[in-house]
Amino acid sequence: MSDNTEAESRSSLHALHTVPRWLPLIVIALALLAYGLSLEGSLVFDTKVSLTHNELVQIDGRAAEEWRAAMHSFRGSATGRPIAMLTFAMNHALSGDFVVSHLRATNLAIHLLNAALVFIFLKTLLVGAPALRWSEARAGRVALLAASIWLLHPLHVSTVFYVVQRMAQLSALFVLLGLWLYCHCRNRFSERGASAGEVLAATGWLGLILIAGVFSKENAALLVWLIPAVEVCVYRGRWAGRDNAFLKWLAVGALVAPILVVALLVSLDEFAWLGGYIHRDFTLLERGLTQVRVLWHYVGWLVLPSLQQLSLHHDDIQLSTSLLQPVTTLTALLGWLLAAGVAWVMRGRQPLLPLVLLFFLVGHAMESSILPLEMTWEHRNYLPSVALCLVFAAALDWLGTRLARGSYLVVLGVVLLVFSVTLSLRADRWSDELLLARVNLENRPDSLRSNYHYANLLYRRYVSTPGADGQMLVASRHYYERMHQLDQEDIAALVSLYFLDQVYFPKLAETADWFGELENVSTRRRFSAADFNSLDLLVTCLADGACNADSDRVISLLQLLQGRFPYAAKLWMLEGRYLESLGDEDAALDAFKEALRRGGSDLTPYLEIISIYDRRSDAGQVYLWLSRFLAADPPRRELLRVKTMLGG
Amino acid sequence: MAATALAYLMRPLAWCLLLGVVAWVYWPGLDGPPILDDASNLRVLSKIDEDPSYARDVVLGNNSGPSGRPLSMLTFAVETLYFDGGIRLSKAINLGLHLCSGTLLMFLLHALLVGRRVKGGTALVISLASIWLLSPLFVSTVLYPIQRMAQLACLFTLASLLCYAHWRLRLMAGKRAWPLLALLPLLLAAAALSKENGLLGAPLVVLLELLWFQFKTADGVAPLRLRQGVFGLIAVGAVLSLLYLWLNSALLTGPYATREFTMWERLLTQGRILWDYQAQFFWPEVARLGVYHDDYRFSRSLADPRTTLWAWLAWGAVLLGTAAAACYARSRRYACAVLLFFLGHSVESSVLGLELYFEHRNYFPVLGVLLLIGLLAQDIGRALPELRTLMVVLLSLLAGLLGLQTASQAQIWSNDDLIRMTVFNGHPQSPRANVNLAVLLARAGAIDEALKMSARAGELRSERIGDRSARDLLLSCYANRPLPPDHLAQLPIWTAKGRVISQTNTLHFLVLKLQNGECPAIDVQDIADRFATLLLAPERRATVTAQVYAGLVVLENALGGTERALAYAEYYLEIEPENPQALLMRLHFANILGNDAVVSDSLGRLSWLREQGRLTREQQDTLDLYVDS
Repeated sequence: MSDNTEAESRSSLHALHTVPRWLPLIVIALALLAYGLSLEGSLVFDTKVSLTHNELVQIDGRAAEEWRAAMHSFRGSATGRPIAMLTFAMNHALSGDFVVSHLRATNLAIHLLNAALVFIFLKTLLVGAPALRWSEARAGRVALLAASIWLLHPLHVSTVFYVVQRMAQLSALFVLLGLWLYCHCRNRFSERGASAGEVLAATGWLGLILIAGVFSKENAALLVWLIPAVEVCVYRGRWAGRDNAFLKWLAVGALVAPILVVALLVSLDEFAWLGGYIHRDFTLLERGLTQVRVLWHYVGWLVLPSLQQLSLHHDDIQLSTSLLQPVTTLTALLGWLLAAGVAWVMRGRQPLLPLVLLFFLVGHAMESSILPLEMTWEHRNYLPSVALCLVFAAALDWLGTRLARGSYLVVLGVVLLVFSVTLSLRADRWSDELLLARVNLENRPDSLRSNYHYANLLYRRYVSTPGADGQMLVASRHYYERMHQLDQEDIAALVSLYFLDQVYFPKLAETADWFGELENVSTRRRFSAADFNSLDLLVTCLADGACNADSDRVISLLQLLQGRFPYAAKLWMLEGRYLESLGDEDAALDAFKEALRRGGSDLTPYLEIISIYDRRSDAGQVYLWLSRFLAADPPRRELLRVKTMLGG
Repeated sequence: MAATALAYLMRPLAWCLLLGVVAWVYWPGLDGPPILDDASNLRVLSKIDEDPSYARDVVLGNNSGPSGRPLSMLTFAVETLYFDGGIRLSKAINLGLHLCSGTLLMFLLHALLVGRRVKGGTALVISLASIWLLSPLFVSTVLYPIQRMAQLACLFTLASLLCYAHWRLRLMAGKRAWPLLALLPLLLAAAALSKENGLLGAPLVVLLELLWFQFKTADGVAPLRLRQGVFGLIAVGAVLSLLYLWLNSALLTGPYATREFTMWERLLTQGRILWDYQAQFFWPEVARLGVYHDDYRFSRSLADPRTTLWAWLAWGAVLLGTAAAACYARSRRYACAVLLFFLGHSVESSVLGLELYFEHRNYFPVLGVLLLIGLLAQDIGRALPELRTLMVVLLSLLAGLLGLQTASQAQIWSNDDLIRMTVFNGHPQSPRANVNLAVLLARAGAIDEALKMSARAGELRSERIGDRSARDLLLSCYANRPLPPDHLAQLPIWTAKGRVISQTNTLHFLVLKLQNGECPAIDVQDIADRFATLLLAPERRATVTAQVYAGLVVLENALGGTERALAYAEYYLEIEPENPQALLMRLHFANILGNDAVVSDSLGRLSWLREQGRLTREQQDTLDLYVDS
């Protein structure tokens, strides 16, 4: 019996279990309440790098060029994510500053919009896909439930309130829009076919949506993979009321093609794709194995969201070094194979199963596969979670056909209440950074990042609060030391401890030789970008005179690292800053120029060089280097800065 | 009803909003400096400040083209007489003209593409016009005050075409609108008096009738008078053009004497340049945009560089396609659009010995390309109506992206130093860009770096031996630092023979600065003596241009070297015997020296020139001083 006839035969049952009409309003109100009461808070983690430390996006918007530069101001990706940066610039221009509540309110608005898109996408899919063809009522009910669960899911707090993850939100927005458009068109095309104009128009609009998505965040490129997944699972080459074998196999080809294309691209330029592993303390194989487990973690957090499990950081998840180390790697892999097998076997009777599985896995394909990114982030589930929410909603609906209306409404109410309360509690934790950091640490005591976040926050509070309790400083040092205990080679911990002892605990500095340890670790550790950034603090402390180390040892340390990491231009930059603080401007100039020769996208050495020549009143060199600075900045991000330096 | 009214209002509102955005994007650029030959062309405006009655001299006295471009100069004169807002006002007026031209362009596209139908096509037309308005290619037209000449020529040409198009549309609807036709000659004349390529207005109108309207009327019968008029115009135009070229053949060949390329090489190169213009219009490489393109490699043959061959093959294909399209009534409009582009470029991008590359040359001709896109979009939209909105959205997005780049260009054009640096970065092989950066460095006091740049500029182009010397002296003046003694003594100019300087402006500026005492670090008398030794010695070895002699007259006048000044004036007259300025100089210095014969001769020649009406008001006033005394 097809789902269609099944649906018709059960129409009387479904009529009994219609979802209350006011459910959308209730759900939206719950979401607004849960998120809205906790809009205050702080900008966390790399939001500062992208927003508060990024002068280019902090605009008042009076000049058109400010908007252009703001759109180009994100340097952490290939596309620059101009659409996302544009929205941040709008926030700043409208509020006059980065007001956390305004930023989060914007993210919340996007979240609500995304939930609406989840609803219309799923409804369009469930109603029109030839393999499903659910009744309008049933499809609407399931889509509404799925969108509601997705909207209220507490896992998404770390996307909505982690302001910079607006990039992931916007990317998801365009992917959902693209999927809706695809389903909308395919529903018609599968029934009555399409003219060339309709196909071209649909392709054109999808292309535009894809570009907009990719310019928000690159993982929107997955739209081109999700579409064949949807086609293969539920449209199955249906065209003008008939099965079209060519279309079917085209879709299968399109589903396989991305794997082949990526394999080809990687083989053509392995370094471009996998070169980032030189900064990681895991290999490609280890990442792949670990992700098999991490994906199950994600499923767990989505199915049973626990406040004790969810956290900003999950860097304490054990690395899989082989199939048996830990053994859960093997079981996780078997679990995915089993899921794939079940989906394949059930594809006829339950076409949603393969779709859900493919949607979840393809949705994770970019950030949870071969690319040398960090291991685990909750926001990576923002789009893939739609699949699991659909399963959840379908299960609830199935329950509705088995229960009396009253019981069904109670179950529904309980589910929504549980999600809302959990969401509300989690959102509340995000309203205060200290609370957030402490809870993260409680949930993830072995996470280096959680320890660092809390320790660093305590230190910043100590510094920024006049007459602050010294215990705060002691506690800060404690958590840095805890970091050191967890990973004796962690550079951030060593540098922070060195800094704290030098500045605040001079007696401890006499007993603990953090600098010596740093020297030792530097001979063998594989430095990550975060490690290089930690050296910033060291050099700043030394340059300011707050820390006291033998200059020869400092230079030797930097030269040791330069020898080990000759591609890391930042090391010459740090050396230049240190030499400048010692008053050796000629040597500093050489170091800055060497930093430029070593490449990299950082233009700061130019500014340092210009600053030195300016101090020397060497106007000719100032102009020559300003000219070079402009030449090294083809997107003209720094145009207004140069104009200001030239006196407007 | 209300919805219809709202929809009716939306279009003008959307257009006003677009114009507002364009103005906002360009606004920072209004703070920019004068560019290139702004100074030499607009210097005369200071005369109006001294005496408003000299306005006539300014309007009729420009010599940057055969026509004198009086209408353009009139706008500058009016601006100076009544507003005196300086260079900022000039740029603001240019921006206003850009918005006006954009609006005319929109109406013209609407008239041609949409015709008298009210619905449909307006969004397409607005998106096409917004591409033109927001293209960064035109920053160097809008924010370059003297290019108002090109702007006005374009504005009046667009107005002419619009006027004709509306007259024809009314004729096709069976109505008469003779006032529109009567307005046409006035607009065509205004275009021609703004800049010489405004003369293209008439051929463009003919082209429009031949290939766009195709003599169609309401009853399908082409009026005989219309046909006669069009073919008559073609015949008269052809005869007049040939006659003019025959009588002024030097116009074609003369300029090549001072160019590095031949006419053939210029023609070959234009094939590549015309493609480059297209790329720079639709997807600009912004670093290359600007006023200096003297680094553009010219084509020596079809194979050198090889892209010449590809470019001309591509143009050949386009022309073949155009010829084929012209054979069929249905596709003739495509041919019209392509030919409109070529005709628009025919004056400045063909045989005349002008410089190779200027962005402002596209200001009008891209209308043809936009028309082509509009036609394509309309035909695609007719065949595949589902694509209409998508095409408008894509074109609007393109306009938006171009607008962002224009915003960046406008910021660069708001600051003299920024212009010099970015131009150098975009054209490191351009001698002019190198000189420009050298000036910037010199002004900052970095004479050594400036001299290095100057030397590099000299290596990049073949220049006369004295050009670099004059430039180095000027740089030394800008830097307010003396040239290193060895450098000055070893400047090759002092031992040169023949024509030593071709860059008149450099020496002219130098002389002006020396005369005004703006070069305290330079021993002016020493320089004047060196020039006298070089140019006035009995065994005179070196020569310079008339304008340089004029400059040296002024210099010697400032130093009190009357005899030398008279000698320079005589040399000046040798080159231009009927130059009123040279005669007045000669008269002045001969009078001081009491040389009655020369005074009498000069007065006689000047009086004759006055009778011929060849003296400006200012020159007549000066002459009167001597006649009265």
